[in-house]
Amino acid sequence: MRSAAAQRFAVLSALVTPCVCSAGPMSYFHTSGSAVDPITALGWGLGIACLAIVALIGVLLLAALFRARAPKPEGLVRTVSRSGSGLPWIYIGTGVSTVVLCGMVIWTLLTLKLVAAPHAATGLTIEIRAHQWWWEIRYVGEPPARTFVTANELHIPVGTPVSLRLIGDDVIHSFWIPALAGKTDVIPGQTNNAWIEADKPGVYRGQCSEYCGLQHAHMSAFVIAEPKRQFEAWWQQQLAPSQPPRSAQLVIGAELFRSRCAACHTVRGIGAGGILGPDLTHLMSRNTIAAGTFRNSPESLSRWIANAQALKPGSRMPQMDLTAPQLDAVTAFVQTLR
Amino acid sequence: MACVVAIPLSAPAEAAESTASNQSVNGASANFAPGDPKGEWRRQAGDFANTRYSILEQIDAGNAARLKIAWTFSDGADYGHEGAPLVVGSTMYLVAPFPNVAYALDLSKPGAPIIWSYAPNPSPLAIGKACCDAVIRGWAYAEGKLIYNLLDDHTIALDARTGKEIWRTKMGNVENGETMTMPPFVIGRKVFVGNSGGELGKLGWLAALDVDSGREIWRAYSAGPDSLVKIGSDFKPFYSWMQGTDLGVSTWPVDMWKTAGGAAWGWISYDPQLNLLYYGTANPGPRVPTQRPGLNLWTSAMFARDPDTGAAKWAYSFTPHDQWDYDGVNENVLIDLPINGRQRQVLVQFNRNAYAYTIDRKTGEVLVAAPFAYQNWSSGFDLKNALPIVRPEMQPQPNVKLSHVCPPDIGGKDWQPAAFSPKTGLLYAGIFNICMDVTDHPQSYIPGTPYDGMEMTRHAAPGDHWGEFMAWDAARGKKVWAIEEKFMTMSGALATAGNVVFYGTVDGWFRAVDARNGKVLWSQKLGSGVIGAPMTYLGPDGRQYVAIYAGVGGAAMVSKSMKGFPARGNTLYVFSIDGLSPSSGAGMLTAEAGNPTAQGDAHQTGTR
Amino acid sequence: MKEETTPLVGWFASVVKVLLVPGMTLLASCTPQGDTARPGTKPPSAFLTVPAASPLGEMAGAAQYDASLEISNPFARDSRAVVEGRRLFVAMNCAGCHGYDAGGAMGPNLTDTAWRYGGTPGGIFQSIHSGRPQGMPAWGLALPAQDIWKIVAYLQTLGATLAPADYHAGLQGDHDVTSVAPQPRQLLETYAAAHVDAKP
Repeated sequence: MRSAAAQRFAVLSALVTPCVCSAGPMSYFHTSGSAVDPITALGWGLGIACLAIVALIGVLLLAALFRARAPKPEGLVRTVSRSGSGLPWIYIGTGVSTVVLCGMVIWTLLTLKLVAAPHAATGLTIEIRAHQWWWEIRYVGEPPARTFVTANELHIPVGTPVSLRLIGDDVIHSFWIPALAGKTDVIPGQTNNAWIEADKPGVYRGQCSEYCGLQHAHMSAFVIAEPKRQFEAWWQQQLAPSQPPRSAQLVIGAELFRSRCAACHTVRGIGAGGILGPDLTHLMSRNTIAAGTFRNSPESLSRWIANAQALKPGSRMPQMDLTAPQLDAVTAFVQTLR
Repeated sequence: MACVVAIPLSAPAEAAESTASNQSVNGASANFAPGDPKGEWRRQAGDFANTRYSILEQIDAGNAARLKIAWTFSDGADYGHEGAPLVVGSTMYLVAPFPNVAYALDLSKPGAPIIWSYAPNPSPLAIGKACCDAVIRGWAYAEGKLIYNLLDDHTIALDARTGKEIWRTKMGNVENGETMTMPPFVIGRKVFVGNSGGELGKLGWLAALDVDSGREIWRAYSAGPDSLVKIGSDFKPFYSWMQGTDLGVSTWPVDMWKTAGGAAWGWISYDPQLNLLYYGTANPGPRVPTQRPGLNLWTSAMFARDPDTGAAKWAYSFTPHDQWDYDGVNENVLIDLPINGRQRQVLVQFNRNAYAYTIDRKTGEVLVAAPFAYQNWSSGFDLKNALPIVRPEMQPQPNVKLSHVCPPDIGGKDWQPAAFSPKTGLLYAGIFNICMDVTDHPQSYIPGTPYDGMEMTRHAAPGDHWGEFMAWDAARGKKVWAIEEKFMTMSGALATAGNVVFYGTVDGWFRAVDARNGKVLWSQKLGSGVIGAPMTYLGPDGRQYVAIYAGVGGAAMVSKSMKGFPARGNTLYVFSIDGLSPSSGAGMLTAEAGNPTAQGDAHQTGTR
Repeated sequence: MKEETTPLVGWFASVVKVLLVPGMTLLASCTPQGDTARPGTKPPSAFLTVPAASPLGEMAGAAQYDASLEISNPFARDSRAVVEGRRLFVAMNCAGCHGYDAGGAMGPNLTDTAWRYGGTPGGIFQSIHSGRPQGMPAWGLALPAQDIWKIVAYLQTLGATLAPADYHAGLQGDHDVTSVAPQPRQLLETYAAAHVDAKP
């Protein structure tokens, strides 16, 4: 009896603990940004306060239960009567609860105010369009010629608040980078504003957190926070067009890309201007493909181009019907998109 | 049918009517260079300044009601007829829309027989790449040559005497969505041509070709680095927001200037004293503005350039970031007039955005900007910075239907050219009274397909009439009189020294109006809708004739579902007082036969 | 890059050439795409299927043009395909030429019974796949055959196409629009009403 309960508890903790307490990429217990730290503190604070209250009430309840009563006098009918000091317990209990609850409300409101807007002006605005099932990311630059489009991986400078404009395209999605900010829904026909800030460099994983169709689970986003100089260098590099193809195979690959892929994908520099799928001008600067579904390796690229429907069924990327040499040429070409 | 609307504050018009003398209301005049021989019509607008004014006065307000058809000519082509005939000596030159067959007619003989015709055989692919019908907007005569653009991006020159092709220059690649519809413009030994294809993401350009050889002398683009736009050290735009380096790159998201649009498909004018040519550029691409944050220079703008080198002297963007496809290609009429007591050399443009601009043509300073048609996209005009004040709620957002945006994409007035009369000092133009419901769809750039994204339905603006013909005082920015038309008024205008102004309607009426007060003197129903430009000439018989094409098409087709919208046509109508001409009368059996037309086998064709 | 000098381009061209009819017949007969291994590569793993480079060859005993005109659309009654076809009609810029209501603008009206190149599903497939001389681009490379069929399925809902069996009736000018089933349009509307993501 006792051992069964212990087993159940052990299994439960084994399941729960890694999810909530480890410092995994999706952990919301170890946050690192001013858009979310107050919430984490609040979460811990409220949690601890609630646990303390539960413990206190438990102790009082137990004390009341086990407090010895006066023995019943023999032969007398027992009369219930208040013999004195019970009432102050209620006054004190209500008073303490009110103060604690008010404190929690005030703390919550203060936290909401803290995360509602960044403490300093954001130097950077990023437009994020949610599609089934990937994230289109547009860096809005000044002058406008610094505006460019990428996908699924946001780079941000460390220690700078960044404004996000979340724009819906097809269905409702929700943008969530647990370590950097709370969830914000992305609703078609509407623009929702959010902001993030990372106070230390690193890769922060995020996930669509509103069920959005078949491949909802394969719709990840990554935030790569890096020092400002590195971030500026990355931005500058993203503005460059693709390099001209340098071998016969790459020329064919580029030509195949133009005729077979360009209606949906943009590659600046070769005149490919489709906007249905991710902008691939700097595909190889990204760590994953298909919205975090696969590591960006030559093998997965080749498999993805050949038959994305087998890898991520239902995605907009069609089965391409390429011959083996064609597939090799296109794969070789996209690998030059650094 | 047509009713004259008295515009308040139109005292000058009434004054003009009451006095017999031709009193200019504002002292406006124009330079009618190059001063072609009297009675000829050697260029589409009659002169360099684009006035479309003729000094002929046989037809006047007193006898215009007696106009009758003298003779007609059909070219058999199906698409919109947007040009005006040219008359050089006793020969009339016509070019039909696609397949762009050219005709020379002998006006000295009864029936104006065909001297020659020429079929250049452009690629039919061009039909499906032309955004707005396979039209031709005009042709040019220079140095014994008839010069015009084929829809498939070739400029050709024919021997005006024989119809033989002298040169053919390839200007672009039609497969990628580039076409050519604009009327070439000749200054001396240079011919200037521009492209169409802004709706298909083609970067706009204007090029100068050598009249004798067709060799390209220079080409200036509408976006891109300053070297491509031909912006150099003497480029001095009047307003600070257009000053800077490589704005044709930096006002676009990275690399998007390469598909910027800004085609030069409209009219060119020229001031010989300043040695500047003026032309406008079309909409930015794609037409969905949220895809291209920035001012998107130099689209929906105009340039003043040195015709010898192509170097830009100044530019002005009418609708920066153009969210509604308002373009800047409409004609610039060069006139001189006093403004606030000071004589100014100006150009007047009735922009599609429904503002009429009076601009100092030396400096690019906007002197007057006032709406001439119903509009609700702006709440006013900031004259200090020469920027319209945009109402944010009228900017289309992707996938959201925005109702009742006025004017629509085709504007408060499209390319149909205005006329100017020095006798009244007024400009005359057919304008629109239309609005649209618009939904933007973000677009992929796929070469050879529309880079467009505007889903639109158009409807009449308040007043429930689609068209209007108006007289405009460019000094004060005021409408003097207007004639309401149920259908679009999409024809060019013609003003004459006889104080008669001519225009046509999309439902096929051709009218003569008293230039001073807008009284409709005469109307004739034609076989199709009128979207061409009227012209007038003195025949070899000494009579004044007025000619107009009836052949509806082009942007007028947006109203094709209106009840009573006419069928397409292809007939040139020529009018004279009482219909008198050597082409009609008793007998006529002696009339000499002309050459066969360029149909079937018995015609000269291109070498391809 | 010259075609004669590069074997890869040759392969590419040969696929272009043979993609049309086999692609159509393959789908028309609803043959599943095979797991045929590509020559010269490792065998595909379980989740990686690559179609063979069209081993079907020419159709036997029939002029390819006429026969294909009488093929029926494998997606004709598939409401999901109709919705997808409408989405592609806008996304591939078809609407830019033919109008968002398919009522014609730069390109011909697709809601009337005038079809320059045939109004059967097979004829429309060919027009989309191979292009037409007056400016219609060829989409056979950019779009897989099944996507073209989905666009055809959408156009069939507009009520003016010819049933495959009516091909000869169409040649003879007997175009009975009432026989063109308006059912698919209802399918589309029902489907659109029931699915939020059906917004074209």
